[in-house]
Amino acid sequence: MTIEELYRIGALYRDQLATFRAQIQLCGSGTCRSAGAEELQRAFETACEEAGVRAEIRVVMTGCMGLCGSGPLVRIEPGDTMYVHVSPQDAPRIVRDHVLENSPVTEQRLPDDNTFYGRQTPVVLEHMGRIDPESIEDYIAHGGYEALAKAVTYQTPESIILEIRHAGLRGRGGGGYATGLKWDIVRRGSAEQKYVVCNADEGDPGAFMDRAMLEGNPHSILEGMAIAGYAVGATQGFVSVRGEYPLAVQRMRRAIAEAERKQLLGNRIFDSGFSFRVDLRMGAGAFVCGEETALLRSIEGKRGQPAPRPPYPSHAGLWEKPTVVNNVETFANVAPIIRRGARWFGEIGTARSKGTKVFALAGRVRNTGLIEVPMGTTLREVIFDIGGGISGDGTFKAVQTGGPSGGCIPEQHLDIPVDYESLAQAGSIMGSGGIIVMDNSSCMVDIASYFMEFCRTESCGKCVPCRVGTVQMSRILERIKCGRATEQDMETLEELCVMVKDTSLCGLGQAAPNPVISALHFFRPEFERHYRDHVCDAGICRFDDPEHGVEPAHEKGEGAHA
Amino acid sequence: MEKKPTNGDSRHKLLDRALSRHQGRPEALIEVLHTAQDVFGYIPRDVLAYIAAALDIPKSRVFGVASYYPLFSLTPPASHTLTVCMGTACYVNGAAALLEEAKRACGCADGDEITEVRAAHCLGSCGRGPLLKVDQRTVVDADRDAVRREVAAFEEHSHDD
Repeated sequence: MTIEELYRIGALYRDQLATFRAQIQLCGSGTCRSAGAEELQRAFETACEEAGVRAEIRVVMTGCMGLCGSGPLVRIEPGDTMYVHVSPQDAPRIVRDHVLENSPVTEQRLPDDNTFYGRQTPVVLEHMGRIDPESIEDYIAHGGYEALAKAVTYQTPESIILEIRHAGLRGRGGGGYATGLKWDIVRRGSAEQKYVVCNADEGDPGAFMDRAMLEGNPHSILEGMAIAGYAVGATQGFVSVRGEYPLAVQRMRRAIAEAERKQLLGNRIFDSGFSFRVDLRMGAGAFVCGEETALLRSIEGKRGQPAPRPPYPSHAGLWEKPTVVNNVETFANVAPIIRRGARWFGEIGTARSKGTKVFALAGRVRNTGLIEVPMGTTLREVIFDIGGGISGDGTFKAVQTGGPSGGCIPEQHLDIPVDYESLAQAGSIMGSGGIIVMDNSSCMVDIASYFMEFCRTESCGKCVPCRVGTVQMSRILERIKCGRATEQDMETLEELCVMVKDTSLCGLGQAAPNPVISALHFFRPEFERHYRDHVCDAGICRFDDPEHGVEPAHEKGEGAHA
Repeated sequence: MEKKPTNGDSRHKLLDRALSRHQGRPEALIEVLHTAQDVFGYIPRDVLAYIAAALDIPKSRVFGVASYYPLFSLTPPASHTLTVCMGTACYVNGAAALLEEAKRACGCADGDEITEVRAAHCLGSCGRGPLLKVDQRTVVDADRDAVRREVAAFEEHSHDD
């Protein structure tokens, strides 16, 4: 493969696309598939056939289009018209009226001036939901692998790292560590063998950014990994995909095979001296494997338990060799930066958090789905403009970011900009990008208990503070929930928060108390009403149910409420 | 070499193919266990021993790894699995009630032989929660009625058998 060949493949594919009279793009994300996208595809194919235009119309299944809550989604090109909640019965009419007669169907049509898409800045999601994730040619036709070609042909590893550093790219998995700096450490490592690892073991409940990107544009991740490999001097990469995402595994496997066939992965890429291979590893359900040292152990085929850092993986990672570990979204940002330059990237976002961030917006919000906004966008814009506000007739109560390592942010902090520092200041974290909106039907004691229970079951058991601390905290929270807690319990809970945070071995344990700390900080009266008055305003907690009592010896006495 | 487990059927061929694809490298253990879990529905003891011999690692380590990861099961699965997603988005949309309903409808607290009720940490289709996974099929926007419908369908199916 040469650069000329790459351009030729792209041009040829674009010519092919231009021969179609129109395109019917269907969202093929796991979510829209579950909502009936495959049946819908057949319905559109049949409708085109019956109208006698099957050969002129391209019916294609794309990656995630973003507006998950309104799926199955369909886009008609040219015109960029989107239809929501499309059922197979709608297909003949959309084909006849819109595709053939060019008069869009009014029902189910998403208005062009909608705030969901209108307020976003797609960088890593630019082509997602528009290209066929199973076709490498489609990716190439949209500029794919040009950054890799440019990098290995015209740039030195040092200049690539400089570009990434100037762009100000920071780790999108939640840590926010400067990507260029990390790469530089690995590049300087003297080992013969180095590795590049893509952490796609997305485990935070309520987060599906990685899933969508793996399913929707796998080549953008591979391209980023290959550029990283060139920059640091690695010849082998691993993508570790969460085992619960079979479609993502399948799409990524296919993408690797196609890239190898086209010699975009393998020996002497673009006739340079650079060789790079990628293998896929499937996770097996352990949340702690999202922690990088545990992830590396699992790639080595061992029990995925974390190890103390330092040494960091950039010094001693996979098989003790210098290893770059980055998140899916971080890698997906690399090719756009190389293609369009650090200056362009640096103009998006805030002073210390550059670029965009992809979020999975879900919970009690009207428009749920996958979004990408510039860093610095406020939570209020995300929830009320893009998200369209609270679904149903509830009122906003809190927004949870960062999953089991993050916290809940109440109304009064909704105007903080979304960036690494501001979210940390508000007592939460950026995390990998899950945003769960909660209304008054959620009880904050229950939510704190929910996350602690999650950490308790996912604790790997290697270090005592996490293994034992999460159990104790979970028990106390259960007691508060059923009205059996005492003032002493509250004190112990707060002590444990500090102890588990300070003394746990890895990020899982260190961050496990965060949801409790933030709930206590912002919603302490709710805890007090539970253990003093036995009242749960959300009506979630039950105070007289023997099944939910943890320790029957602690009788709650006369203060019981129904 | 450990003798081949149980009867030599096509499932063992698939396992052997996975072993030879990874050229018997010990670091392929988790990949091979995934194949075993896929083809047998769980990982039988004799298969664990067979894998240990093929990859030349102690049986204790193979067992240690297989029992560490939640996606690997060392016991045969029930005929049907009903999984309720308890991810945060599903949870704030009432998944706990669905889980209760699933357990009640299946007439079991911790699962019986025909239908196993499971709670998943997150299935990743958070935009359409609560989610229900019926064997391999995902149901979006699930409610109590959906749970009852699916359980009834299992029961009907088991009468047909």
